[in-house]
Amino acid sequence: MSDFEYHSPGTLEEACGLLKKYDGKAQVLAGGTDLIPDMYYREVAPEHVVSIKRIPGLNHITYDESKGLTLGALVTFNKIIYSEIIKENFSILKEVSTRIASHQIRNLATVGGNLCNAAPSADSVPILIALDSTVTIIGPGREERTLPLEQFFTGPGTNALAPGEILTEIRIPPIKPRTGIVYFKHTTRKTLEIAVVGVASLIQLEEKADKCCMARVVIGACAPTPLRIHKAEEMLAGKKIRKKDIEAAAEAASKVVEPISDVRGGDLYRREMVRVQGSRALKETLSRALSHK
Amino acid sequence: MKNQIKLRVNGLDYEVYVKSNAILVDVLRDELGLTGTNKGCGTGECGACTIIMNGNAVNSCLVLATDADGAEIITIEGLARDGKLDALQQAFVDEGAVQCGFCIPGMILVAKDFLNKTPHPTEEDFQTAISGNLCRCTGYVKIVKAIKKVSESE
Amino acid sequence: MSNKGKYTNIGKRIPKLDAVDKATGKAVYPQDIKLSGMLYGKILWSEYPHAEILEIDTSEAEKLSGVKTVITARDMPPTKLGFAQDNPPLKGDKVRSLRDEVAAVAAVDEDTAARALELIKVKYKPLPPVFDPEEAMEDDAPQIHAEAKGNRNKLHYAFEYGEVDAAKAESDVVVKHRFKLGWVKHCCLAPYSCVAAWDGAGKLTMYSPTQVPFLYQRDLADILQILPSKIRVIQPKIGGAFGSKLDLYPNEVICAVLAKKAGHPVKLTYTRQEEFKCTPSRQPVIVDVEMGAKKDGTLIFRDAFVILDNGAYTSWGATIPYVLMNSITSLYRCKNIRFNTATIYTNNAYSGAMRGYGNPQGTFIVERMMDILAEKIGMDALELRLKNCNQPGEVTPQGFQVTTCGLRECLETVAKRLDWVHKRNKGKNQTGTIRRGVGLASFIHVGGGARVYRSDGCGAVVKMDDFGHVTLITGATDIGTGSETALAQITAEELGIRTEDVTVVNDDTAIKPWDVGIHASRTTFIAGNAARKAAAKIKANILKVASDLLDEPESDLEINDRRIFSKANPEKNMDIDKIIRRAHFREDGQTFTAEAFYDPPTQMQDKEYRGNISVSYGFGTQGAEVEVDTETGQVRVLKMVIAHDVGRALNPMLIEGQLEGGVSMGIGYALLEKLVVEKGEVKNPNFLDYKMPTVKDMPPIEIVLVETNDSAGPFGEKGCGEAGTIPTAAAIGNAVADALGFHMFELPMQPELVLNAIKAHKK
Repeated sequence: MSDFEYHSPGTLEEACGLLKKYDGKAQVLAGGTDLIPDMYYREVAPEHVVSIKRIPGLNHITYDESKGLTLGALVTFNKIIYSEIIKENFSILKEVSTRIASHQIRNLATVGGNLCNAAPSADSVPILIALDSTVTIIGPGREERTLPLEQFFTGPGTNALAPGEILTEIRIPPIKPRTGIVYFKHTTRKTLEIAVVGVASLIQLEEKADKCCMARVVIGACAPTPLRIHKAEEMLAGKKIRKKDIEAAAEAASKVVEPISDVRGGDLYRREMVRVQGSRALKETLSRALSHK
Repeated sequence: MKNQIKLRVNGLDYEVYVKSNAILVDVLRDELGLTGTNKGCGTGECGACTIIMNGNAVNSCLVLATDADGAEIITIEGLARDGKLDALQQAFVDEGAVQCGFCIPGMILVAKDFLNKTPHPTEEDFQTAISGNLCRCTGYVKIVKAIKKVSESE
Repeated sequence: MSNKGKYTNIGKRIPKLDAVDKATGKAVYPQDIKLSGMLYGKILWSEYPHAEILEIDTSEAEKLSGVKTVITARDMPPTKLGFAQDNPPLKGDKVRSLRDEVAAVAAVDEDTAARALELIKVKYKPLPPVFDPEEAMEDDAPQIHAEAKGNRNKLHYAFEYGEVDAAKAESDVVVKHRFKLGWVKHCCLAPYSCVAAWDGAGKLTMYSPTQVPFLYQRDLADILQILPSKIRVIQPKIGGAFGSKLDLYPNEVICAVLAKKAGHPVKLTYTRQEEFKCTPSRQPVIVDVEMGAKKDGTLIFRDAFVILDNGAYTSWGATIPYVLMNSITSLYRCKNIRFNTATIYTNNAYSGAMRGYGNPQGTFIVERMMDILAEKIGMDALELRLKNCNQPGEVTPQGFQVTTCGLRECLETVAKRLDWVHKRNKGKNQTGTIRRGVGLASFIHVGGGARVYRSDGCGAVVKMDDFGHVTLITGATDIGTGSETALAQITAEELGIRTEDVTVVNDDTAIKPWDVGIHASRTTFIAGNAARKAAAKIKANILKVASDLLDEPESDLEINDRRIFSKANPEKNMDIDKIIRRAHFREDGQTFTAEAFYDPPTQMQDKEYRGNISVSYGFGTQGAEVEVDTETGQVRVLKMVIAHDVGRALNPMLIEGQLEGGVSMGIGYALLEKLVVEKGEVKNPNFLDYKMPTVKDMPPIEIVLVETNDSAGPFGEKGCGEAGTIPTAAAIGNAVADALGFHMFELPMQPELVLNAIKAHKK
């Protein structure tokens, strides 16, 4: 691993300042579970590493019935798994987190890091997009902006942060009643895997009828970024969803994605798995929606 | 250019000078001579280097030594007390969970952390505990058995 | 288990002797060693799979601060490694694969050594490469070794038994298929590491994870052109071997030469990527096989042709046909056999020995073909096997003299526990997405040593001290299997003491007697017989002394739990340590040390591959129940049931551990593990993309240990270290075929391969 200058700023202002100053030569270090292996494999060789672990105010999980869930960027996946708040109100996030890496990595890896690393296969992203999450970003002049998470990813490994900006928070609106949410991760081994295909789906049913009023279908690992499949969503919203609607939506999703062939899976196989797992995920989602209060 | 860091390892305070790119597993093994923590891959994919840092089991190959400044660390050498093995260590020995032994320190420490955090573990939980640890010798069977034995006796 | 209180130590679930050290972090592996002034070595690998080396400029690297020495081929003696002597430790004129060693560095730390490698400038003239062995056989293929015309390695196996061509005509049913089994890796959790240290007078100490310290000592002496007596091999704890350390490899020679030139000890440790790219693999095979049988299920002929991708240089991978042949000739009874091979150089990395040594490959082929034959005959696959089952007392076509054989019992036990009758052959009636099936497979493997070298022996020295504590110094290393514990149990049982009274010393060639090495599941059998022989001498001596002291005839005395008793007059007894001290501290005193060497009464195979190479043979059957998701291609093993004839289970807990580990390796081989190599380059050199089984990929495993009590082994034991992994992939392959209703001929059966096969079959 090449050598670098290590910085451990105590405030966001300091951190943003360093990132702006060394733009193009610096990397943010949060959990380190992506950055350290990347540096080990010589995929990146930053001259400056800015560790943001000491910065206060980035490690909270708060919930409010009207505003929803707020996660600080430094919240680790194990913190999510062991959180009572999450268990009570956003158990899908606990479910998704358990599919990520290993217990040891979950003790280090942060949700902010998972987003900023912007891997097309990132496990937390499809579900957060399906939940209509937004991210809060702070810049060097202390200016703050929010962005729908869907717009945060610009390519494989690239995100919408401008020089000197840091992602500080993820906000997720409250889950409406009669909503089913599912994340299916298709892998070869049962654990310790990067997703070959990731499917997040959400179906919200009307209050009094079993008609779908909102659907979200987001596919991971099959395009340069996690991809929201509007076409599939349109095929489900406004309907009393039947098996053939689900199958048509999954089929549509499999045509929209742009998977590559790599050592983890072939493009045709991935497309097929979008169809198969998409269909299965939607069936499960509908089932959960029907039983959700 | 080296920075001074302080580590409390197995209850003992150490001061070490490390380069910025020094990784915790190497500092523990090479600077402090605590070679019980094993290095299997260097990238967090095998779990052999697992230690407990500030109450959490982590891959020590994924932690910059400088980031660990001020941390409280437990390595495998720190478990046995007064000539008596920790319950997990004893169970691993008694249940035949040890063959070549290279994965064992990591297995014991992650199991320790996982059991601490999981008050009523299910059958599946015993497997989840070590899902981030690879073993080529045992097929995991007796390792899971040992962890379950300790959990059920607590 | 059939002990019934007869033995104190044998048959007991005694923990491994070094388990406490390993569970407390005290075990020392080669990577843990730190010697005074020690430097760190690193190897520069080739940039091309096939090229001439025009120039190597190390001047910049040598100037880097912290670098002590840089070596290239000019610093090496001109000798070559490998039994084919085609592998120079550092390549000087030509590189033939991407894992070729071109230069090496010793520096004050690993970072500096890595930076030094980047400063070495090598000029290559690329040559056209060839990666497919069948392409490499063609006339216009690039020549890889000047002396190997047509890229043919001289090594060639040919076996004939009976009249195969006539037998083809005689068969009622004939089936023919091609199998392709690829590269898999040992995945030792400890990356390869060794330390070399020279003293001031030309004596070398190697701290090595070698499985063959004495052969290694001799081979290393040959390569370095020094006397073998100048080399001492110390074996630290080994973090996984599985056959990967059965040969002397360039990295160890390079380590020794770096240390010599540097004048400092040098430690050379691979990274995990180097472990994937630059260590030998299990030998891949392409096998064209034809088999025939009568309508009544009698096996009539087997005809197999094996193509081996030898890679760029020759290591033990090229010799696996020697063992692969065993399943073709001797698994079940078949009257006419033909076996042939072609070993072809390519610009891929070479292969070595890996647990089972060709038998997993051979068993996969034989056992898959048995199911296919059964289907074509219209006979139940279990019935076909029982009809042709190996039997005690038989002699196989290769001249293996089978003494005990529990195969029938193993087959029946597995079939029963698998609920064969209700679960087999249901695939075609299943209509859902998820299909279930069961399959089984058996094996035959050497169980009482393997005479593949001039000696198959092992020496033992047993010493009992004044306190009744015994030291067993054995030639046999423990590579993590628990054999040292079994040896302690054997020694203790022979002497009438407890296992905890025995210390085993096995890690230093300067101290321990000779052993050929840890391979072929031979250790407990051979080293156990040696230990027992030596212990028997001590026992005889003790009884002689005791007879005097107790005034009872020797024949009337026995030792039980550290005491010598008179059988007739039990009140006449004495503690064993007291006897020792009485004999020691007197005029003309004596101490109690004895040695023995056990070399089994077996034969080397002749030029026609016939000969009884082992004293006894192990057998076993494994069964798998699987579930296939026909929409995703994912295969899940629901359970494994295994029955192994181990002669006697000296330590059931340790045997279970070996079998469970073997099954996990077999599951990897069947369903998950594939070294992806494109144009000679490894594309998945890490644990994320090379899919070794995790805990969640393991099914429940039911184990039945069948004891046939073979009189040749120590207390009836037969070897089983490799057995656990030999038939696993075949059993799973058979189960998947049962679930799907068609056959696949490649491993691993990863989801994408399975789904493509399902789709192809539908058309």
